[in-house]
This record gives sequence, structure tokens and C-alpha cells, in this order.
Amino acid sequence: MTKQELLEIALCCNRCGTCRGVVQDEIPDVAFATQCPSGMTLFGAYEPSGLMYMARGIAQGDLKWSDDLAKVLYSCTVCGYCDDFCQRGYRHVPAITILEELRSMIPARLKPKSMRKAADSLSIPKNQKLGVLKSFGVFDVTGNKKAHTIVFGDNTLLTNTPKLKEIGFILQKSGKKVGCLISEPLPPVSAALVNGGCRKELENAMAEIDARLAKHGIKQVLVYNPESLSVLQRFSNSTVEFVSIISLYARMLKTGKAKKIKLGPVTYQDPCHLGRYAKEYAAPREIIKKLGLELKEMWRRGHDSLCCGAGGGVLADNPALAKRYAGNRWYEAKATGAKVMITACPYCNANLRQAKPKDIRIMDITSLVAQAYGYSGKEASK
Amino acid sequence: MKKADIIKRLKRIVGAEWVRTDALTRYHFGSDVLTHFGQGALYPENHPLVVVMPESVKDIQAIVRLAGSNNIPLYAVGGGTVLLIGSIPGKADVGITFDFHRMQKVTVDEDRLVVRVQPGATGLQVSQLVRDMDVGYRPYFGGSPGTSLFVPYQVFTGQNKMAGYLDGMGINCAAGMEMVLPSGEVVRTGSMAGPDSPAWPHGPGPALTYLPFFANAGYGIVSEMEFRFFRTPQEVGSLWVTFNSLEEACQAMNAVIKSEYACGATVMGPGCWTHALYSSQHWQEGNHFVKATQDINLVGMGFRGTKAKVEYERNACIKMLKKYGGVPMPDWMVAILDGHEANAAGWQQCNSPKICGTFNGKSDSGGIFVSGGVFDTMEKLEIYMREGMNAYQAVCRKYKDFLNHPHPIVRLYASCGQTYLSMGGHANAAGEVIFVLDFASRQFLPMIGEIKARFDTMMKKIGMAPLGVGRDARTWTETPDHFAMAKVLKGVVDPQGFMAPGVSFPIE
Amino acid sequence: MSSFFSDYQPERTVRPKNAGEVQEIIKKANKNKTPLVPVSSGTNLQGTHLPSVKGATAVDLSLMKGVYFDEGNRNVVVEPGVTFADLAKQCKKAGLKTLTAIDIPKDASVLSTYLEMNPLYDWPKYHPWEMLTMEGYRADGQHFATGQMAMSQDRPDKYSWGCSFAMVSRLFCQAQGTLGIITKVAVTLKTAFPKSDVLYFDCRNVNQATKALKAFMATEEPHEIFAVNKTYLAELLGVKLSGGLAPWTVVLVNRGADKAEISYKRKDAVSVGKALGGKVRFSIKGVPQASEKILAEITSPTGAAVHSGSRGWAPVVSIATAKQVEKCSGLFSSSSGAILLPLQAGGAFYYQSDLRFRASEIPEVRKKYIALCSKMLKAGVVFPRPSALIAQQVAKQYPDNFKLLRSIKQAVDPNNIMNPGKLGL
Repeated sequence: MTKQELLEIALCCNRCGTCRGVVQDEIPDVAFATQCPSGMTLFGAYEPSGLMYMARGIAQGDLKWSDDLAKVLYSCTVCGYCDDFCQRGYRHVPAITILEELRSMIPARLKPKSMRKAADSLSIPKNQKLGVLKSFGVFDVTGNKKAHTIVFGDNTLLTNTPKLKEIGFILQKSGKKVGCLISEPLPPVSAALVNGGCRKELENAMAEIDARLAKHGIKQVLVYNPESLSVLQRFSNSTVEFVSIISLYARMLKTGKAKKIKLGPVTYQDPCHLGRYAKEYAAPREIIKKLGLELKEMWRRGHDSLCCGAGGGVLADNPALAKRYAGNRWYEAKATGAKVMITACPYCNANLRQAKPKDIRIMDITSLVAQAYGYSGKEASK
Repeated sequence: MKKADIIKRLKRIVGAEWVRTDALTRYHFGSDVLTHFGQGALYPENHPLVVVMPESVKDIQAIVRLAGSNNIPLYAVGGGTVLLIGSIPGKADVGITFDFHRMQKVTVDEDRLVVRVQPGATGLQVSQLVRDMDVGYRPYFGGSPGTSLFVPYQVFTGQNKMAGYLDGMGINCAAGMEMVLPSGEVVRTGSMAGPDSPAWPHGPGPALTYLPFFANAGYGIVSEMEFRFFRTPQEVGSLWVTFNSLEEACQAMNAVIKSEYACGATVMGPGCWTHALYSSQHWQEGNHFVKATQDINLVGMGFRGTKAKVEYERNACIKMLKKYGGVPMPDWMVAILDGHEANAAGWQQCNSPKICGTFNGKSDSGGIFVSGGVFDTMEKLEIYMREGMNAYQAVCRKYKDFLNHPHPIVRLYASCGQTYLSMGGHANAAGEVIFVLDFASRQFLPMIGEIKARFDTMMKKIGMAPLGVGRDARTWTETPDHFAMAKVLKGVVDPQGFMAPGVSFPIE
Repeated sequence: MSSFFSDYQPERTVRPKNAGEVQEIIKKANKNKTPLVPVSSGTNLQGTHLPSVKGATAVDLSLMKGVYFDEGNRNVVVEPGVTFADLAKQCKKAGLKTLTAIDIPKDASVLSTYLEMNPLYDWPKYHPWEMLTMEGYRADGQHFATGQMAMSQDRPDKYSWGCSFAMVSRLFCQAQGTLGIITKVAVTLKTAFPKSDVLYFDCRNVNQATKALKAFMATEEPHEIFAVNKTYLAELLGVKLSGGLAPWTVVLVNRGADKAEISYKRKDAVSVGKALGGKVRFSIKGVPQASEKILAEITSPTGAAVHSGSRGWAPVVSIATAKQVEKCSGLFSSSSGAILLPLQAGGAFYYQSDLRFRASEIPEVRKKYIALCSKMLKAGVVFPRPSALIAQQVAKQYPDNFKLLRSIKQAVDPNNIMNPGKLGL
């Protein structure tokens, strides 16, 4: 993007402030009237318009890159609400495009440490544990082997044995023939690359992914981590279908073979990358219903959902700030009277956990589904 | 006082996190759409030295005292949104700008029928709060739901849509206020004069409630304000009637005004964009409407009240407008663009972003306020709209790049321009006309300058008082005896002149 | 009985014929330090036109009768000597009307009535924005004007846009002539509808009356609406107080272009009355001409004479919430007249009750008046234009407000010549 192009799209923002609020017809309580995680916490230039002005200033040469600019740029969780809301009837400022452009333009020296290392997220640890899946009947897609559906070995799963076991268990219960690139995993792309402005690396990784998916004749990829799902959906040039693994759970539960879960009232946190980016709002709610749980929705939900505060690299770069953002979410979760917060994203889970009030639990939807099918945690690899 | 010391003192008052001196913040609070486009020459970008976010009236008092005793210029912005210059500092790199994000409290008193808002509260918050309460506010203000609707942003800069012809201007709804004077003392007026004061803005004695209006913090910093509410009407309706000529439309409008029926009545020249956009849910809807109305003039209005009232007034207006050659639009068309009913019901409208983004919606910043004013007679309005359109088109024809703009909507506007007038205000037949140019590129700056010059000449000829919006220097030059009195008041409250110098009061 | 509010009379009277002479008088008064009291016409409910100090000169503005009537734009520019009666003929011809005031007679000055914000019958519908721009002289003799009237261009029609910057004009309202003398104002005119219908709703007490006023106001249909107690209503109708009148009556005046408009408004009012648990009446039993009398009073008010007869009458002019009205109504004797006018969509009420007395009782009744006002002040009631008797008390109640007003007064009136003693300034 040239500076002129950046300026033109940045000028779409006339700073009307609409993106700061929620849809008035949907959210009745003034306490939950604002939305942007950084804007509602830090105000001023930390609101979406601050980023648009940053783009305008950089494009025109009015502003020079500095630590201060970096601080604002990396306080954004890239939740996508401002972009989404602006699109609903206003002028549509492509805020995400602008933000990602800025993050790719900023000099490397000003990037937070975690962002400078974002490309490292592509490296596969030597002790990766995807092999755990094999014990649940997931076959390794190697050599010239063909597969219709695979599960994506994302960066939150590679060494996460407990989660791999839960997923393996559920896949087994599904009766579906699912493969995985186990011995030679696909590049574990995720939003970290976008957040860190690693465009080239992302491009290369996606080219490799597309080529290898084609080679194995893969038609569908199940993805656990929403931050990987949204990146695969946005940047893949293949015709492969990338879907959240929870859509499989939802289909499975329709058969009614799972047992009901006994918990108090629950609420559900829509992960930004699963919701606003991947547009998956229905499946988690269907799952919660099928598990026999009472869902107490927060007001800011669905495409109006409030970010947990982890995204955009904030959790990795500035956990204290991410924790502050999470506090906003807990305030609303508590107001519903729910006893359990359910999430479908490992980052939401981790960040909300660090700010969690004492009298409310937080659970991953995959764990709940596994439980419903009788998973006890003791299922050993065969 | 040295910059470092000012910052240190401010940090002590509000906490380090709420004092911002970084380049982006200063840029963000020192520029806006108009400083970038077209009117850059009139309204230069001026950055504050520091932006401070108070949490309470006590914080404001302490900051005002600090600024006063060190002669530091103070400026204010409501919820952090700037559309009309009023909060852009008049002096560069020396002042403190207030940002009221941390003061967003909104409460409603249904018995006294008022809403009390802090300066950072947004229209959206108010709408949310009252949605199930059977009350709402009017006349409707322009602007978007995210803006700090009530306090310094719009009301104080004078931007209020006069579309509420039956209700007068937005400031009619002010009931009382609490303001920190330049001395640091607090004054409470009208409905806020005492803890249980009735919702009455006037008195005791001369009404001070209106002092801060249009003054852009020139007299003090408002820390809280009350506005009156109305019961939600049982029924709302709308009516749009097309005319072949602007003259017929204006005459018909005059008849409506005399009948004292309807609310929010407006006349629009060809394109009818204001109506389309006020009433559409998406810019594309509005866009289609604009395209479809290139050869008509439109009178539009809303109705509210009991079912019988809405029905009676609507029918009466149809009959009246038909006499002047008006043709009512079919109901289904009005039903698509239903924003007018929402406005009549007393809810917040959100037109500004729609208006500005309509023409392109992709990469063009859109509307630029070129000329506007308030007129006291229908005749003047009609002349202004007609001649204004001619002037606009004459200049557009000279600029081939504009006429041949790659975007079709810009080309459309290059050929026709847009006008609207809102009948309104307490002046029976007063109204507001705004001409808007639509393009984003700086290459057209000379063109805007030319059109502005033509408009200024025409407005002088017509005999029009300045709006008094933002840093409109004509307020000072064209109504000297009015301004002299304003200066006396300024001398009383702010002899040093550190409150918003160069915004509502010129820098001496 | 204006002397109820003041013991002083002006020592001399001057009668300027034009604005230039007004300026001369002010300049001279500044030189000689003579107190000036502007008087537009002889009537005011609270003795504003009477000096509160010795040795004052009354500036009688009744000779200034200039009128610029702009039918097309429904505005009129008037000088201080122009009365409601003066405008009646022209208004009638144009199908227009001026907004008339409660208890202010038709021969009162339009300018001073509006300037002092005396309650208008039409406030519930049109709200108190009857004035547009003004022109006059500050107490220090400087000319000032607001909005279009301040424009340097010389044209007759430059008056109606307020150029709201700083809202200078509102500062001269309710100032009781303490800041300067206004020589010209532009006021709005409204449509005079050909059809009228007066409706009545009986209320058991004042509480029910405020509730009913709010409910009827919500329809936004009546042009004039107020509630009166039976004393006030009997006086208004010119009948002897009888058992036939309810303790309080809400009077609604609907106006319309034709029968159909009157008819739907009547139906709507009836259903509101029903919802309130009462009945809307179309007449008053035993008073066949009631509606005509009420309409005539609104069009052409009698003034204070309607209440006073041979006795003294002193209104207590206040603005109150419904709760405050309820609390304060008990402070007045049962023979006092009282009127309530809903304001601000029903969020506040103009509340005027009164004291009746013989001339010999004035000193005693004054004490009573002051004590009563003090209680009302404590309850949070606002005295929008306090009489000289309670001005200091009111000023004390709102110290921040009056501190600012005092500094403004000092700036425009360094010699304190304009109506000293008024407003607690």
C-alpha cells in the first residue's frame, strides 16, 4: 500500500465516534455502552480514531514513528469491532486493514519484543506432541497419502498433550475419519504473524500450506485455535474449507449421544477471531444448549461481543494491560449471574483466567464436549 | 511555568495515566476533518501541549486553577470527538485540552423529566438509558451516536440541527448546568441551581444557563448539564412530497410552518440527500435515493402525537402541499427510509457519518461543509438555495478533474451539488442551509476556496447573521455590538483570557 | 397594590421618545449617579417598576411605540411602549396572535412582559422562546444588540436570527432592568386558529392536578393548559364562589383549523381523562358563558384586577416540581387563589398562589409573605424573578449564581444606577 492509499482510507474516518459504542437497540444497559478494549480503558488516542489519525499522520509525514506511537499501536487487540460496526451502516473505515498496514510499516526496533519474534511462531518445536492424536485413531498424513479432512496442528496444540487428548477423544467419538499432518506438521500460522507485521513470512507459510493441502487432496481443515482459523480463512488461496472444530462438535451433539453436563448457569465469551472474523456465532450456542446448560448471555455478544483483551499480541506483549481489559469483560459476565464462563479460544481462556473473580469458573468448550462424551482424562494413548 | 512542571502538576491532580503529551495524542486533539480538508487555511491545525482527562468536578477545578495562575490556555472537547473545530486549540503547542472520557455519567429523572449528563456522555448512552422509559429528547441533534452529544461537543459549538422546526433549536432543551469558572469556582444554574430545583433553565434572575452555549469553553468548563425530556409519543409518522420547482417547495413549506403542524420539516433541493441520509439505514440506501431524486425538490416532515393527531396532521399537510403542486411519495418508499419516524419519536439520529460517507463509502472522506447559515425569511432561503446551487455548479464546471472524477457518485455531485434547508428555530421561518462538497483530495482546495468566496458574497447580499459556529470569525466582525457584550462577560469571568483563546474569542 | 412590594416612589419621571434619548438619560444618570428605574407600562406583578431606593428617576418608555410588523415571517419588532392591545388589530388581520400573559393586562408592554418572562398562556405549547433579538443600552450607556440586530448592515428585516453565540440576550431577561434598558425586541407571532374548544377536568387536590396536567401535556394537543383552584377559577369566570367548583380544575384549550381537528382533540382528551379516573367536562355547571370568558381572558387578559377587587392582592410567583407544589400548597390560606402552568413538558410548573389583604395589613402581610417565601425556598422552589422583598434571601440561597451575576452587574453598571436594590445585586 502506498502512503497515498493509506491516507485515502484513513481519511474515511471523520471521527464520528460511532465505533466506540454498541448498538443501542441491542444493549440496554449504559454500563455496557462502550466497546473498544483500549478505547474504553485508556481513552483518547487509544480509541479507533486514534489509529486512523496515526495512519493519517504517518502517511502525510505529520507524525514520526516513535515509542509512543508503538505503545498505542500495540495496545489494540485487533478485535475488529470498530471495523465491523462502521461497516454496518456508516461509511466503513477499513480499520483492520489500516491497523495491519501500520503494524507492517513500523520500524522493527519499535516493535515490542514479542512482536519482533512473531515469525518464530512458525517454528515447530522438536518435542511436538501431535502424535498423541494417533492413539485416538487420527492418521498421519505423510508422503503422498490423501485425506479428506484433517485437524490443523496449530501453535496452541503442538505441545499441549491434554488438549490434544481431548480433541483426539472427541474426534474418535465422532466416527469421522480425520487425519493430521503429524510427523511433518503444516506451518502453524496464527494471528501472531499478522500482529507482528510479518507479511512475507505469512505469505510464504500460506503458500506452503496451500501447496501441501493440494498435494494431499485435502478438502476440509478443522481448526481448534480461532486465531489460526481466521488467518487460514483470510490468507489461503486454496478452495479448501477451513472450519472451526466446534462446528464438528455441534454436528455431533445433534445425535444426542452425549450426556448432559451439570453446572450452574453459564455465559459464553465469543472469541473475536471465531466470531467477528470467522462469523461462527451459532455453533457454540448450540453446543451449550445440547449440553443441557443454562446460558445467560452477556449484553455485548455475537457480533457486538467485547474482546477478552488478549488479542493483537497484547497478552504476550503487555499481560498487565490485557488483564485490565479482561476486567471489563468480567464485570459484564458477573452481571449476568452466571457461575461459569465458557470460551472457545485458548487465548480468551488464558487472559480471562488471569483476571478471573473468585466465585466464577472458566472452562474451554472442547473440555466440556469431551466430558459430555465421557472423557475422564485418564484415557491413555494406545 | 515550564512544560515539565505543568505536566508534573497535572499528573498530581489526575494521576499520571490521565495526562498525555505524546505526539499522537497531541495530533489527535489538534486536528480534525476540517483542518485537513478545504478549510485548512481558515482553521489551521493547532496541537495542545498536553491532554488531560479529569475524573470529577474537583479535578477540573484544580486544573483550571493551575492554568489560571500560570496563564496556560485551556481548551475542551467532550467525549473525544471533534467534527467542527470548536475544540481545536486557537493557540498552538501551549494549551491544555480537556478530554472528558472519564466523566460519562448519565442519569434520568423521570419526575422532573430531565437527563443529567457529564461532558463525556454520549448520545448513544442516553438513548440506551431511556429506551424502555417512555421518554426521549428533542429536537434531535445532528451528529453520530458515538459523539459526546450534549456537552461541549455539539451544543456548545452550536451544531444542532434545526430540523426540529416545532421545537426550536437544541439548546431550548437545556435546563441547567454546573460550570467551573475561570476562577476555579463552580456556578450552578437553572434546574441545577439547588439539589431539588425544578427543571427550569431561567433564573433566579438573568438566565446564566445559556452562557456556555456556542462559547466553546470561553467562559468556563461545564462539568454537568441537564436537558429536558419529553414523553415518547404514542404514534409517529412521516410525509415526503415532491415538487417541480424549489419555489413551489418553499411556498408549500411556508404553508406548513403557518399551519404549525408536523415536526422536523425540511425542504431539499435536487438530490435530497439530507433527507435520504437522515432517514436511511445504510449509505447505499441513501445513495440510491439521491440518484433517484436528481430532478425533484422535496419537502419532508415527521408527525408525532396520538394516533388521531398524526393522522389528522398528515392529511392536512398532504392537502396543503398538493395546493402548491406537491406529489406525495408512496408509503412504501417512505417506509424504506424510515429514519424520520425514529427522529419524530424522539430518538437519537446518527446522520453525520452517513452524510459524509454516503457518496462513496469506500475511500472518500466525502462531505465538506462549504457554506451554511440561518435565515430569517423563506425568501432569503430560496434565493440562497437557488443562487448557491448555481454558484456551486459554475465553479464545478471549471474543474475538469472534479467533473471527471473516477468515482461515479462524485461525478454525480459535481454536476448537481446538494442543498437542504431545515425549517426551524424559534424564528418561525428561520432555517439552515448547508452546501456540501464531496471529495477528499487536497487537489480541490482552490475550488473550495472559490465556492466559499462566492457564497460569502451572496450571504452578505442576502443579509444573514453568522452562525457563530466554532472559530467563525464573522461572529466577531459582523455583529460587533453583540460581540462587545460577549466581551464584557468574558472580561468579568476571564480577565486574563486564558479560557479557549482563539476559539470563541479572538486572540487579542 | 404594587406598593405591597415597595415603599418607594420615583422622585421624577422622564419620558424619552426614542432610543437616542434613552442613551442620553443613562449617560446623564451615570454622571450624576442617579438611580434609574425603567418603566414600560404601569403594571407588573411584583413591583419591578417601583424603585427600591430613594431619589430614583423613572424612565417611562411608554411613548416609544415603534412597531415593525412582519406578517410573512410571523415576527414583530416592538419598542417598549407597545402593548398587547396595540398589536391586536394587526395580528387579527393577519390571522396571527401574540402570546399573552397570565394576570398581565392587555395594556401591558409586550417588551417588558416578555423581558421579565411573565408566564404566558402558551408556554406549555411554544415554550419560553418568544423573544428573538434585542437592542438597547447597557447601564454604562454603551449600545448593545444581539444577533441580527447587531449586524452592521443597515436593513429593516435584520432582526430574527439570534446569533446565539454566548446567548447574550437571555442575560437581560428577568434582570428587572438592572443591567440596562432595552429599547427594541423582536418577538414571535403565532397562528390564531379559527376554532376553539375549552375542556375541564375536575381534581380533588393539587396533587391530582399536577398529575393530570402532565398527562394532558403528553398528548401535545392543547394550545393552552393550566390548572386553577376554585378561588382563581371563580374570579376568572366572574362568579361567586359556590360549591359547584371542584377544589382544582384543569382547563384545556384546544385550537384547530376545523371541526375535525377540534373533534379528535376532544376525543383524545376524554380518553386521557378516563385513564386518569375522571371525566373531561365540556362546560361548567351553572356558568353558561364559562368557555367564552376563558377564551376572552386568554386573548385579552384582565390583569391583576380580576383578583383584587377592593382588597390587596400579592402573587407569589414561583417555579416548582410537582412534589414542591404539593408541599407548599398548604402554606397558603384556603381563600388564596392559585394557578399552575405546566412547563418543560411537565417536568416543572409555574406555580402562583397569592395573599389577600387590606391596605392597613401590608406591614404584617409582608412579614408573612417573606416567611412563606423562605419556607418555599427551603423546599427547593425557585423564584425566577424574585421581588425586592425576598431578593436578598434568594441571592443567599444561590451564592455562586449571584456572585457571578454581581460581577456582571458591576461590569456593565459600575455606578450602580440601574434599578439598584433589585435582584439582591
